[in-house]
Amino acid sequence: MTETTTPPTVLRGRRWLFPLAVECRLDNGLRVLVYHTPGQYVVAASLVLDVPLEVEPRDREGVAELASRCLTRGAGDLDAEDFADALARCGADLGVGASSDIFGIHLSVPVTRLEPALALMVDAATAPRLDPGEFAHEKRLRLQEIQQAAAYPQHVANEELNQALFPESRAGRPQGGTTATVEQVGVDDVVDYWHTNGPAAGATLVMSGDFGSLDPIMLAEKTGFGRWKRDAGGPSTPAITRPEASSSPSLLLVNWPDAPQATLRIGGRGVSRADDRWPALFVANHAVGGSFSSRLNTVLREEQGVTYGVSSSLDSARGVGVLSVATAVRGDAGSASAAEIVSLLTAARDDISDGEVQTAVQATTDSAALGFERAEAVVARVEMLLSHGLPLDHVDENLERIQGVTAEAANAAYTEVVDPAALSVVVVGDAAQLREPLGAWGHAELHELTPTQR
Amino acid sequence: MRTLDNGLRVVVSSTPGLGVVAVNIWYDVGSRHEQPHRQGFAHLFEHLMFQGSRHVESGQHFALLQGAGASLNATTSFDRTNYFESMPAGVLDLALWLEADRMAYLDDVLTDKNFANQVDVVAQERSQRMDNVPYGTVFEQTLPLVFEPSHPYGHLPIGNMEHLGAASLKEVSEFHDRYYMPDNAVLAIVGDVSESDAFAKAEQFFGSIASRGAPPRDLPAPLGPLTSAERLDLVQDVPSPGVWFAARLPADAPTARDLASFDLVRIIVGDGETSRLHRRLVRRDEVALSAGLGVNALVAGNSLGIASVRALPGQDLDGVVDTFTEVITQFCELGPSADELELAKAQAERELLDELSTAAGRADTLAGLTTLFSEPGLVNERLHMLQSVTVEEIHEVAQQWLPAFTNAQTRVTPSAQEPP
Repeated sequence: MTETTTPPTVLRGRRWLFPLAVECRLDNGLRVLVYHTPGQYVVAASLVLDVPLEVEPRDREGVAELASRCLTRGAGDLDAEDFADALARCGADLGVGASSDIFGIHLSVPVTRLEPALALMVDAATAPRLDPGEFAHEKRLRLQEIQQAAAYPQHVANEELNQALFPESRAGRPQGGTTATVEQVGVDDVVDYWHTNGPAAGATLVMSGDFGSLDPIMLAEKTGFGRWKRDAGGPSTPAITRPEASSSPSLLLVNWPDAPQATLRIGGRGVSRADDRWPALFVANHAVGGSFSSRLNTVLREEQGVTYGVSSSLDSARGVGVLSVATAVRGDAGSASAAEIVSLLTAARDDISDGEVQTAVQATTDSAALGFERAEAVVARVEMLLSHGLPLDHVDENLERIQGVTAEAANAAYTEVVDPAALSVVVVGDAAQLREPLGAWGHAELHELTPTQR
Repeated sequence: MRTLDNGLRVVVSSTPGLGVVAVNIWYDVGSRHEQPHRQGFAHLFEHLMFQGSRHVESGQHFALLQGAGASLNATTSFDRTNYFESMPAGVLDLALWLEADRMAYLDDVLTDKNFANQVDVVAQERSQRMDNVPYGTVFEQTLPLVFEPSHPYGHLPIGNMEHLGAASLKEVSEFHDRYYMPDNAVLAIVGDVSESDAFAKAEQFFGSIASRGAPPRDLPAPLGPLTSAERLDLVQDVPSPGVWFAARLPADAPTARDLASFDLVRIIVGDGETSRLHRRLVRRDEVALSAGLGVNALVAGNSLGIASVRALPGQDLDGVVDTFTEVITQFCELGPSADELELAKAQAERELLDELSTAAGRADTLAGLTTLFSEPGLVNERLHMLQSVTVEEIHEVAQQWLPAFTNAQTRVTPSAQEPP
């Protein structure tokens, strides 16, 4: 065989489409969406409730997170340990969590044990014991977790960036609450939270997998999802206005003496997924910092060797979006790298080329199928759509719009939305090394923080 | 599976639909093959494999594949290095061509600059994963308690940055010559491609690469459980005390029933919320944030077991270790209940199903079984083997290997006097 000296051609396949939902409502009005994904024998089911974090009382933030922990600590006839054993017997995982816009109960289980696992999931949702002893244990653990997390520079950097971007709103405060607020939460608060929001919230049961001859909708009905008494008034998502991310530049140095790296988080306004500019901005971000071969990674990792990797991402919740850059660099390069990142983001304005855009478009559209092989991934994406109030055909529609993004559109979106001069910058690192160069940078006035003062 | 004339073993599993194909190449070289003064070299070499080859410019490997919609990466572990990509079906030829070019011709284009750059990148990888994370270096320091530093498993794949800083391009060529050849590799192709096409493409792209004679697999003699008490005490900037245990286990093998049985011990004793360690230390006694036990299946004489307890602030580690020991001892005395075994089997089955739920997962499993044991078909037998393990077998293997877990301990105490 002769040696080929140039890369073989890539054959672009037919357009990939997100699976179609089979949709129905159970007797109690619960909406069910089923996605058949052949070959996926670990099936996934998520109960998605429209409960934004803003419903939490201000002085008890973290009640949602604690409720999520307590739902599986005993439900129906089973105490905490028996419930955990029952799940394990099914080879099932049942995870519960509260995020910005939704409260979710997530099941994954081999399809052969779907029915008993769904029954357990129903019990967790409709008849959680919310036992005071279990609650107390979870609360103690949670308080410990909060304290322990403060020892991780990566965690601290994330929290400080959130706070800088959203000084006055829920998004700027820790999702699971702080020590002060979690201390205030009692088991009655968890009971109130769940009994108020569980039955009242707009709810959707999303399922995906290779169900074989099983009828997942019938199983959902049979195991009791349809018997869950839903409030007659129907779904009520509280109207929430969320402020945009801050557009005042800031620079915070969190002193981490002797840290071998400087952990950087840099962020500013982005857009929410529902925004018209999302596809164009996504493409622009891909070129600037959203891939291995992006501008940011090429410079900081492959040319300068100061980092294992740097990336920028568009983070989105309903009504609000952030562009954020995350990396950790060699300690003494903390200031230079922060400046380099802002400089690269600035240089990208109106500068993204046709080639960069074409690469980003093809990389995104052609890799779409990869991200949805697993049943769990399909369900997670639908959960995102529901949390944003986006239609179920959004995935296909978004990909089509990405396909049509031109360099002109990408540059227009990027230049309009991303303002490098307005970014919030957080550096967690050794102040002895970084205080002086950061102070001299000029991006914003330097503020310094030592963790024990928080 | 077929073997090309040059010794490349090719495993194909055709699963049409979804338009996704996964490629995974295992090279039979990992950190256990490294010279004692070049710890971390196999992993550094893995990085260098992305820096370009004879017909591929530096940076193009990632750019070409990602640009075509593929996702890709590589990992280095004790026993092997794997390179993998998942992609739309139409990208397969490109992926195979790129893999073949760097298998055959890596060292043509490497420069001192590339080399120095990747040494820097690896140093930051180490920092990010280990040096800049609480407890990040504990495992590394615990390993030499159960394996002599000169044993193949006496050091971690990430290695020693000073060793890497002293290395040269010449050594890179030598490493390539010694380990990167078709007869020391397995190529797995899984997904939306027919068997005949896949084998034909393997031949097309790899067939002309010359074999060089793979180095013989040189495995040390198996070691029994550690009998002496080895102890390391560390004081570090961590939020609460902790203890890490390491142990030798039976090596992985085609029909390693004892390791499969121990894997069930792992689940019952130390994996997940229904495990004995979690229930005793985290739930009942409330002395720990987490407690668990894990197994790293390896082939060079022994596998590696690790356990750890992250204690709550202020906890006395003597007490924690005593409780840990009690859990182990009770399990060794009475073995598992039938119910525990049933739960563990359900969990093990679930873990296998998860591994096999993506084309990439299947490709990695098949490449692995073929590289280590020349038997891709084992993928079907492993579940049956697990399901057939009895309570008695578990009890026996636990009695043999579990008690020694407490013989090698690293205790970590916070340097700060008061909790933050």
